[in-house]
Amino acid sequence: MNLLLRLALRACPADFRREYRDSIAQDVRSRGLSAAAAAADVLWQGTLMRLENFWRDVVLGARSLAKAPIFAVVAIVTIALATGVNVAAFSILKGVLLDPLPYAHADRLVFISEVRQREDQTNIDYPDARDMGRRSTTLAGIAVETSARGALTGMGKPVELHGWYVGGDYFNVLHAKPQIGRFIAPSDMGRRNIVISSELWHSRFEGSPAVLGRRVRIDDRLYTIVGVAPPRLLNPGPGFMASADYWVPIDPRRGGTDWRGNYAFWAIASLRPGVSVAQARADLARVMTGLANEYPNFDRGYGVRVQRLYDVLVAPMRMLVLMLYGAAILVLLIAAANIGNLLLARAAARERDLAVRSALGATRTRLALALIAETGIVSFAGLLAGIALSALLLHVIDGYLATFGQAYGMNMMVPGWNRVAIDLPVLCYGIAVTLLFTICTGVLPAYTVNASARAGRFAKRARLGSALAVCEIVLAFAVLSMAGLLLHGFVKLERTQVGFDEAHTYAVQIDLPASRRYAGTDAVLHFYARAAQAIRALPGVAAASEALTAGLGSSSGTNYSFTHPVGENGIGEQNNVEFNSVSPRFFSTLGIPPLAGRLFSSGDTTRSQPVAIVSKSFAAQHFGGTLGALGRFVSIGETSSGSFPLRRIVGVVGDIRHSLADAPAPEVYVPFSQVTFPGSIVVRTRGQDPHLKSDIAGAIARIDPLLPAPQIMSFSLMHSLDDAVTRISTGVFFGLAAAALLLALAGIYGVVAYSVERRTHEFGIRMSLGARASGIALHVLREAIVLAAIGIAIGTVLAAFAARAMGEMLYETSPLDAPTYIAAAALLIAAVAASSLVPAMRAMRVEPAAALRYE
Amino acid sequence: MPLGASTFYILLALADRERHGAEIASEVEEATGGETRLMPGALYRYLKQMLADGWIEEYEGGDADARKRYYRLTPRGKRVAQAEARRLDDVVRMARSRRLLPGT
Repeated sequence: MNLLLRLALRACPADFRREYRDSIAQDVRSRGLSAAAAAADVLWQGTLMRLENFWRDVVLGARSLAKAPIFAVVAIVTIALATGVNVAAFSILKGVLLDPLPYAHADRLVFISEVRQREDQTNIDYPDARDMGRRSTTLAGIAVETSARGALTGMGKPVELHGWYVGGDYFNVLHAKPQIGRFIAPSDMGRRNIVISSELWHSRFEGSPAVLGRRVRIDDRLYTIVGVAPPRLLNPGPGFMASADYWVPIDPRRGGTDWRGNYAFWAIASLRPGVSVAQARADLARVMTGLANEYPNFDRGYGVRVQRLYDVLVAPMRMLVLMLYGAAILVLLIAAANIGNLLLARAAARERDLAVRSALGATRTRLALALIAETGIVSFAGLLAGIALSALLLHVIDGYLATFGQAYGMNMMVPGWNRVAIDLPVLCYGIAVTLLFTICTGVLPAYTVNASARAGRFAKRARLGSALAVCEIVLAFAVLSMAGLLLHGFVKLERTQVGFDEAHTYAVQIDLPASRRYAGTDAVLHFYARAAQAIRALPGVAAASEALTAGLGSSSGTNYSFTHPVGENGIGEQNNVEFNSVSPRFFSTLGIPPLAGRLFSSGDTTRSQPVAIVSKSFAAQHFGGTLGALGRFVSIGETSSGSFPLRRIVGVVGDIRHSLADAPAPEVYVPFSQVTFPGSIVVRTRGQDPHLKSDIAGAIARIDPLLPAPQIMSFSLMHSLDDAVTRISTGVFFGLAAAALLLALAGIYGVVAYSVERRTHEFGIRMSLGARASGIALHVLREAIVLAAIGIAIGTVLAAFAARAMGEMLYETSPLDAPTYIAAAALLIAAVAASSLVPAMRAMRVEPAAALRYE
Repeated sequence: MPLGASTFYILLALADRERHGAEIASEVEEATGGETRLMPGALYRYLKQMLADGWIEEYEGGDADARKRYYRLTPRGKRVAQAEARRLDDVVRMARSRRLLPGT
């Protein structure tokens, strides 16, 4: 026979080939057909036949699955759970860690900050940044930014916008190109030009090109629109990215741009092509040394830190994301073990059916394919359900993160989160995972089909099943422990004392536009006094007080440097300190305990002596103790024109925390009446008041209807937002641990149930020899617990390693925290015992006579 | 339910008498004026399916070529072929009544 034809026949199913090979060959000869044409036809028909067979297997598989719905449902749910969790985790991994930054030439972007020894500052002051840009040889451009907020008025209802003050080469550094018009250039400094975001362009200006040259009133000043940013341009900050509604040039009159020591800005720079980060570091260190020599009062003792933008943005998230992904993989492995067990049991159930088919001439491949078709249907359904589940999971996490990000007033987000989506690469990952799953766990039982002696096969299966169950326990214990450690740390974080009474306290942030109406400090003072009074008059409000900033999550943003004079008129060293400007009732409103001296009073005005109140740790740090601070002097801030007045310390109060993770910070308070900036009002209510927000907004609107609604947040909410990331990650880990536990329990149940069924005969013998039913049940339980104990022992080692890697994520909790591990072990053993209860009880009900007959 | 064209032609070819594989193929080719050419792969695939469905049966040719396989219609196969023929007849009648085909 022709070679071509022989090869083509290989494409046909074996039985067809055997049956009709000769007839086909004969046919070709007798009809005088061309070998090539015949071969092509045979090839095609063979493929069709194989597809028909496959489809028949799929239909048969579906039918037999329908007859065993429990197996199908359990298998599908298991696969859905594992796939869903993994697709979500991978999507996060890819979006946050793997995807590159959304800027052209992102590898050249660096983040520059000024640091002192042992400090972890991310900020920089404007003059230093400018000088670095001018004097460096390695930077292609440096950009400065600080966040901005403003009310957009004159276009319907006033709305609060978030933006950025930018200076230097901002848009060039980010390699961004405007959609229309142009960007802010260094020559725009001080001019009222504005670039609006693409989203704002479409929502408020209908995306019309005529927007260029239009004037908008933001913050009560008129800006001219000179350009529109590309869609979704994100601004980098340390550890986050933020979207923006507008960009304006830094205003020298407001920004403190001539003020060295005013670390109010972030700096991003672009390296020249071919320059390495190390070279840039050396270069800028040189520049910094020069600056320190020129301006010893401000820059002495400071170094410059140059980091890749990617590291600054993503590094804080890296460990968390990797850990999440690792836990997801663990869940996947547990699920795989479960599916393996399930399929083993399934193969046993179909044994007779498969034996018959084998006797009828089905090849091993066909039988394997039949099982795989069944597994395939289950996997496919599981994949679809899993993708739906992962979409749901991502949606939920997204909701939490959105609340967290917006609360900081900058539309902040986890870097890369906007790219976390179930896109094509993620889908491919999901499909690959499911495929791997199916093949690994489906092939296993297919090859036990033709095993040898029946008893031997049972024993082999039981051993395999037990081994798998132990593996599941190991993994489940690891995930449980990790979740437990995180929870422990989280509880500690939640219990952290913030130093004031958070119950029923709120911060009302009211930003005043820099218009003529509020030009002088008197006008600002007057407004805030009226606002506080109006709020105090509301029913349900116990106290209200003005303050520059309000507590948790908001420090003054700028670290003011103060001089600590040696003696009354000496010039002392500079230090950074938390700063707040408050009215007399501030401390009582928030419940900050006075410790020594007095609080501010109405007698502290611009005409009386400048005074200050310091916090306990400040007094301890600089004056040796609370009482030592009274009567001493501090000076807050310096500008190039001179320093602020010396202030007499008249009182000491308790410390408060500005962020849960940090220790209570030394803080200096000045009277609101003496140092007036637009800020907030802190409010304490008597109890729960559902109308509070609308009442306050109404009161403010009555004073000045042109102001947009104030931002009102409860301190307890700010508290929970501050640890939001910890909260979310703990929650996610708990979800994973629950999934792992559930799957492991299902696995144990399967193994124990199978073992009981197999040993019915043995139990019958035992009982007829006098063993009590309860004894049998206990025996079964004990075996299950032994399995669990082995798993926990091995799991402890694995968990310890994983926990050590998690180290920095655990708040004040040791990775080897014994109580957590013990609790996890106890929980696991109890759960295993519970899930073995049903098979154990079934063992009890074995009737000796019937069991002895059963073989 | 309409039959595939090739399947019907094969049934037709076996309607009057039993034939062996190559004969069926040449019969179908002739009957359709060369339009339907059954290659060996396709032919035996259809035959196998029809055997499984019970429309035809196979037997060894007693005479000249002992290796040749002969096929003939089963009663069931005959019924199937008749049903299809009747259905086609109805279609032609309808076409005629709507003047798509000449005649009545």
